[in-house]
Amino acid sequence: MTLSSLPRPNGYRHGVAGDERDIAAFDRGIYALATLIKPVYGPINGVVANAGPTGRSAPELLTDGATIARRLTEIEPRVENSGAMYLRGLLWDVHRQVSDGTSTAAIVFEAMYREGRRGIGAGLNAARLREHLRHHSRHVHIELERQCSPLSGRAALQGLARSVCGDEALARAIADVYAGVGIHSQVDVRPSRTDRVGYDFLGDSYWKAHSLDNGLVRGLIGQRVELSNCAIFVSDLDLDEPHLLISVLTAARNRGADSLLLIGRSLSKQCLGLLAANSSSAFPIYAMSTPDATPIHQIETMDDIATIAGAVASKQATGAGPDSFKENDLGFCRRGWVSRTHFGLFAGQGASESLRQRIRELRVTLRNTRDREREKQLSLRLSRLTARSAVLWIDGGTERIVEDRKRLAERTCRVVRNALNNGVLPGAGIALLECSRSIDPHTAAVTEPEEAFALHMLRYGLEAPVRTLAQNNGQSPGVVITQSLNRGLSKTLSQPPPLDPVGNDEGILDSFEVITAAWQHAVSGVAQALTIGAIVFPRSPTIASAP
Amino acid sequence: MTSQLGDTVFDLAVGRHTDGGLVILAACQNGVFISIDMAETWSGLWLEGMATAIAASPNFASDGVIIAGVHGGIIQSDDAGASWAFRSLDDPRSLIASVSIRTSNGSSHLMLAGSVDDGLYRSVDWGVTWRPSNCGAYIPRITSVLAGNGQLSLAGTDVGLFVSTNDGLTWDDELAGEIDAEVTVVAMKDNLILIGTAHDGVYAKCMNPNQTWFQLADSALVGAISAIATVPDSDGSIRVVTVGNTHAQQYRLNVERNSPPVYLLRTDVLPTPALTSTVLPSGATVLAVVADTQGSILPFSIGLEGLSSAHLD
Repeated sequence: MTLSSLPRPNGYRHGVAGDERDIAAFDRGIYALATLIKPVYGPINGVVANAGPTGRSAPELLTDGATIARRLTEIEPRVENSGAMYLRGLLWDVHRQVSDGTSTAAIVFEAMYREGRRGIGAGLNAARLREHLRHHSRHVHIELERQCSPLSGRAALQGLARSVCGDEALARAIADVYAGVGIHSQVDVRPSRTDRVGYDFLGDSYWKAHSLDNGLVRGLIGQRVELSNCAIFVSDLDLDEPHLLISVLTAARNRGADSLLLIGRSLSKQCLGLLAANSSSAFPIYAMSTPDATPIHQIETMDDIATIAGAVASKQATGAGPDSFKENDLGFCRRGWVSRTHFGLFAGQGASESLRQRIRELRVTLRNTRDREREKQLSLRLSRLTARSAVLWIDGGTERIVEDRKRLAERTCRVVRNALNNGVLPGAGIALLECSRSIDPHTAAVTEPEEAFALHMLRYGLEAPVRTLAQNNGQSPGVVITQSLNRGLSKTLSQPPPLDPVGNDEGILDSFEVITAAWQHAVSGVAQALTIGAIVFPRSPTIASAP
Repeated sequence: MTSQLGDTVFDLAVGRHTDGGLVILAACQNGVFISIDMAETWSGLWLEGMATAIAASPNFASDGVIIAGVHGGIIQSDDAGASWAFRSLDDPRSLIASVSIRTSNGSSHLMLAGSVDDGLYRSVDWGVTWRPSNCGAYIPRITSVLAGNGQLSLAGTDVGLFVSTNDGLTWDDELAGEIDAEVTVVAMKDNLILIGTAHDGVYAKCMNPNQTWFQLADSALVGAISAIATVPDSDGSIRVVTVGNTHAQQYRLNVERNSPPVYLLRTDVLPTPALTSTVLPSGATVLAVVADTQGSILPFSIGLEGLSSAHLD
């Protein structure tokens, strides 16, 4: 989407733009994107229509800041585009980090940036302003931590989900799902066949992998195939030795299996032929790749599968090969399934004590992990070991609506998970507004005009979300802010916030992590942008390719 | 008052007859049997194979519902055993170890079945359809289930306990606090959870995350626990009766406190080694029905005054 409705000053070719007119154009780009995003802020929000590149198809209706920022790829002229792309990059960072909060970040950024420009225009030093902004923004973070409460109870889950997706049925279903499976779970979002929002809890453990036999062995064409009384060979080996497969097949038959699932790194043509010759409807055989990309994760996953199924994993790292396989290395499960992209196990025949012990160790490791990526990986492993999975069915209609709804549901799920992990804040801008009180005590001890103005900017930015929400609801921002501050913060989160556009009694919640990320990105982005003194244009501008 | 049923008994259940009398149901090697005269005489209700678990509806007098676990499925009667319907479960066929029925004001009902291979099954339409319900219940070897009051349900496994707070839809092993024990029987009284184990006696705790499990019965004395019953006492405490292989024991618990004091009231030696048994509250006295390996059924009452032969009340 390109923005062509805004007034355009003279275009720029290449070189350096650095006078007041250039900076004003840069600012216009920032304000243009923020203006686009403002209407979609809040649980009951407006929409932004994206007419598309030709304008001939039906417009795409956008309801979240991240998608609007993503669709806006260019503004003319180039110097305005720089401003818009600066904000766009910042918003995308927020989205990538916490999946939500882009509208909040855009609104806070725009409000503070406008004030900052006004201050600099009045003669304040931008660099000093930046230092004071960075220094005093930590008071806000401390206050947000003070307000943070654990997310617990179905009603609170639903309140948070509603504030993210703005859809009552979807929020209810997501709340039910996470109240049931908790944070360490696999939740898949899929289009519903009945065109209704709903959910199912599953009790199997499943992994993403690809079919090594490409479905040729037993005609696996897209659909999921159920396996009964299934023997499982777990490995990260290249399955290219026919006599290894013969040993595995013999062992599976000897132990009374009704089907066989082979897990390995690759499958040679010779072995594929062998499997095809021995696979039948009475004894189906499937071969799937070892899940996970990195060797360390693969080893952990193999050990998880082996524990569930009671197998001994054949690992390259330990020198496993065709001659080291023993009949007891095979694992078993009562039921399993394979598709081209996943396989799943249910009622593995591994020892209960071993599985319980592995889960216990994983929980301890997870509690002590601070690394986000590692935490994510451990959480996923725990969800598989404890068989905590669910499908969230979403409604739709046309393919595009289904895709939009799926994205919305997935985003809401991510925010709910983050909130389960890190806590929640009063929603609808109330948490940030309440933080403005934490700024006041510092105004008495200011040492220079830039510090006083930085405190003013922070307070103005903290009020901005409530102000925008009031405007979107057709209320007077000043009146709403005064009422909200007089009423005070709901300490327990059980009271409805002063601005409750849904009009319910449960209140609206925001994820602590989302609001914190939005605030931090906005403040640091403003502090940085205010010190931009010149803009360099390369001769061949590169069109933004990411996000 | 011993009765020779002459069959291996796997499970017993009790219900009230329309006239208020007691109905004893037995799941046996050769089918399902019923006695309405305190185990003096028995008649076959379903004789088409082995029944491994049995439960009667709490409203048995009015609805006549019985469910029993059989090889590969559940059989159900809605007319006190006059006719039966078979509900097949998933292949490969599994053995049902325990079944439970909860009725609540005639509307919110729940049936649970625990299998020794395939985990839990759940029905919310009076047994018409049964669906696997193992989300979070990662151990598929279920030894006992209880569809409790409210939305709380319990499932014992060979390595611990799972708790569900949403009518058996999802399960959690941490909710009640982890416990490492082979669970043989589960029981519940309001907020109090009790589990009988194969080797470690009886444990209890309230559904309070800050409270840890505390041990009631000494495993050396009671052996594997096969039944637990609770009787509320007038002073607000709860009397717990446990039945093991050789002994029945009574305890008094004060569940209001974080670490409830446990008082052993008395220990009685059972007149016959029990293979399976069931107990139920019956006023201030607990009636126990014990079956031994030979199919002998012995009803007796356990009161504060001690063990005595049961009589029709």
